Amino acid sequence: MYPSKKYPVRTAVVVWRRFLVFGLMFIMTGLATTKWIMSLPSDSSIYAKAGMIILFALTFGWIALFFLSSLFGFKELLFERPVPGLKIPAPDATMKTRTAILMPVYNESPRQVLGNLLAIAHDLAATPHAAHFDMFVLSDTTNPKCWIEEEAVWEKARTMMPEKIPLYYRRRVKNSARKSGNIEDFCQKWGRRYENMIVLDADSLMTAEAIIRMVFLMEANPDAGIMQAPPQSIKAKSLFARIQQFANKIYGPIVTAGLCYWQMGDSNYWGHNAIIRVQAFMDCCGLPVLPGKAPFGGFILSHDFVEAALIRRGGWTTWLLSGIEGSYEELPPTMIDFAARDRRWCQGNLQHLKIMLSKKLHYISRIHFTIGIMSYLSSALWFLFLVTGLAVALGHEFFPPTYFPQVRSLFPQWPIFDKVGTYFLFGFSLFMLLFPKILGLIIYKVKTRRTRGIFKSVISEMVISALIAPIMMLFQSKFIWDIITGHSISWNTQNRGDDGTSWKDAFRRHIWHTVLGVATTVIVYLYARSLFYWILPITTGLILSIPISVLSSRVSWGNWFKKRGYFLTLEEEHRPVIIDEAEKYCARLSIGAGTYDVGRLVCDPALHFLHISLLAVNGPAPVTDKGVLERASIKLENYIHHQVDLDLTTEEEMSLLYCPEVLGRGLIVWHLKKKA
Amino acid sequence: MVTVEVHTAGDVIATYLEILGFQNGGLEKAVRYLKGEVDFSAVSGDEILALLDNRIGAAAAVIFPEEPLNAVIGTVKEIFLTNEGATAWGIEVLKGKDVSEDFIEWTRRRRIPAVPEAIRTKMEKQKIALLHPAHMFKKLLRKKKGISVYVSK
Repeated sequence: MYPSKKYPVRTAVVVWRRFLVFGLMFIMTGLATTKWIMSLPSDSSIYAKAGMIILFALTFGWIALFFLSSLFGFKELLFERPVPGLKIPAPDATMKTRTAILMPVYNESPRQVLGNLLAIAHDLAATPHAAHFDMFVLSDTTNPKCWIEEEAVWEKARTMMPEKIPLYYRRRVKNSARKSGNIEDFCQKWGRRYENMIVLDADSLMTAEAIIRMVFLMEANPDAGIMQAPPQSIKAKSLFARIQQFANKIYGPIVTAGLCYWQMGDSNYWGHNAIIRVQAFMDCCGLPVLPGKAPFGGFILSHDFVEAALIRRGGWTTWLLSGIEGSYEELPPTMIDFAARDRRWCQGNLQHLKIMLSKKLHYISRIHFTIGIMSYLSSALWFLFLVTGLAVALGHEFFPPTYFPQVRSLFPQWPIFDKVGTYFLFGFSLFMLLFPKILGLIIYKVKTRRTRGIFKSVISEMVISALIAPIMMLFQSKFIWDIITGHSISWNTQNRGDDGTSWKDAFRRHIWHTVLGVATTVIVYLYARSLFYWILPITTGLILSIPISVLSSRVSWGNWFKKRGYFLTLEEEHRPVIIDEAEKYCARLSIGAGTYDVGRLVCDPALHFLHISLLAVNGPAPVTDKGVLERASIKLENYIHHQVDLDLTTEEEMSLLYCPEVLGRGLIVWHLKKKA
Repeated sequence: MVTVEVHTAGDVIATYLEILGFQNGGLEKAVRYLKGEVDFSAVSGDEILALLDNRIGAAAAVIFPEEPLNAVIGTVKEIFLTNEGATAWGIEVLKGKDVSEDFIEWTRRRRIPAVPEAIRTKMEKQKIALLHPAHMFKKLLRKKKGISVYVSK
């Protein structure tokens, strides 16, 4: 089946909604920029003025778009209006399609990943639709220990699966093109078996109700290529993660509903917790390698936006389902982990600069790319705006205005600076940032009828966010600088643990934030005292960045606030059953886990045979350096015969894992030795 | 390299079979059977392992004829061990290509595939016609054709 080229939403509705949001954004930005031009000091240099005007217009426009989206999102949520063009399935509909639930993993904790999958599978098994689903663990793992553990835990999880849902596992020998390559590999081998695929992330959790509703929606809307269920944050423990979780819970829905309002069938894809029509994906989403070197060339990193754009280009529609409940994800536990994730996303989004102007893309796809880029670029623009503003203020201190120019005049030339106008713009910008939070709070109260600790939480969130914002601004500005100057990054696994940030780590990461904060405060105090109290909210966060980073990463602090009713979400007070189930399965999978390494493979015959049988499933082994294998074999021999620690490098351990002959001999010799 | 050091052939065979789940009387019977079937005299420990693997390999090739041998040897051993094949079937797995139909059926039924059968389909790489600044300028200059620029001498 191919999509009809006819757009399912009435054009007038689409045009009107987009005209309203973007028209108002341009009007607001135009008016505010005019006011800003009139407010600027008359004696500033033309370059400083031009810079400040451009930076103001860009940053104001950015916050205006989200202010307006929130406003319309609020309206949509309040009146619970259906999304135009999205057909709702009949209540008595029967499921006709088959869906693969995909869990792509890369050096993740197999117990947590498979615990989540087991919980989803058992939830599905309790419905009459279980037979329509298959589950796949698609591993791109490169850590040998993690690889062995994945195999062992998958084998155990298989025995715990409900009868009707098979759980498959495959590991790619070479993880080219990362997650997008992983999904592409799945589609090329097994894609034709399924009509839909639900792509998850390692920390994703979805209820059967959400999954089934998405499948029915796909069946009812044959033009749909992607449907994205916005994930809610769960299981946050550290203070930092709990604040993010709270903010997502309260303010997230109106932003999502707002995006739904103007995007409709041209929405975006966020990479996980989404259902994709396999045929649409296979026809449109074979991602090319971009010409040039990383960070802008090479494999496409943030593949999700590109896939959504290509699917839309292919004539399929893409939907954001703001009304879907039961789609969950976890958050990075610390500010440093959050920044590390941002670093990856930043590079991925900036890479879109190369794609966003390519031919035949839908104009809304170009807007998605712009929004993605601006999510990071806006920080750098804010930073430049502050620096320029500060430079102008200091310029006045060091180069006092000339009241009597060389041209003779009867009156002195007083520098004009519209203080009131600046205060108004500052106040209005603040209103645009904070008002959506109040709207979110209203919707949360209306929908959940909860009040416990909500106001103090909102106030505290605003204060802490204000402290964190300048730190994130500097982090993101630095990332952009690194990327522009050609520094690429390796794609590491996201930390999902609760260890917290050490003082040493925080010092290393934040010392320059602190230095910059202190230096700015001192300079402003000495030379531009009129700005001192204005700059203080920004520099306070920077000066305190080290303690903020350390203390907010602590689970104990998260618990302290939780006990006192701060940042509580509905999911914390009434935990969804599926979260408990996932934790229960994770605990069951952890029983008798022990260490997973080559040593385990030579003493555990069942795991050994499983590993050997899976090698062929994974495809031909990579070419291994003979010297490496020889060194590894000697170490294995010393381990078996002389109980010397198996001190293998990753390369050596991998070479052994790919060599069934050496492993097979190791297995026999280990057991012979044990008998002796 | 990991090599099977000085041990008697009987030790190596017994260990190999123990790993497959053979014990006590069953183990003794299986060792006797193998010694009767295969000539293990004057071969090294590594060669004994290869001979034993060949034996199971021959059975695996009959049980799963359409799959690569290196994968199915592991599969047959895993199924045999985890389903207590030694108790249920004794020396059957060591009979090479002469394994019984019942054992073939038993093994096949206990196999849970790691992945479903592939239906290979190529995904075409999409064209993303990138905009290059140099091309943009070229385009602009091309549009300017017809406008003559005179340079005064």
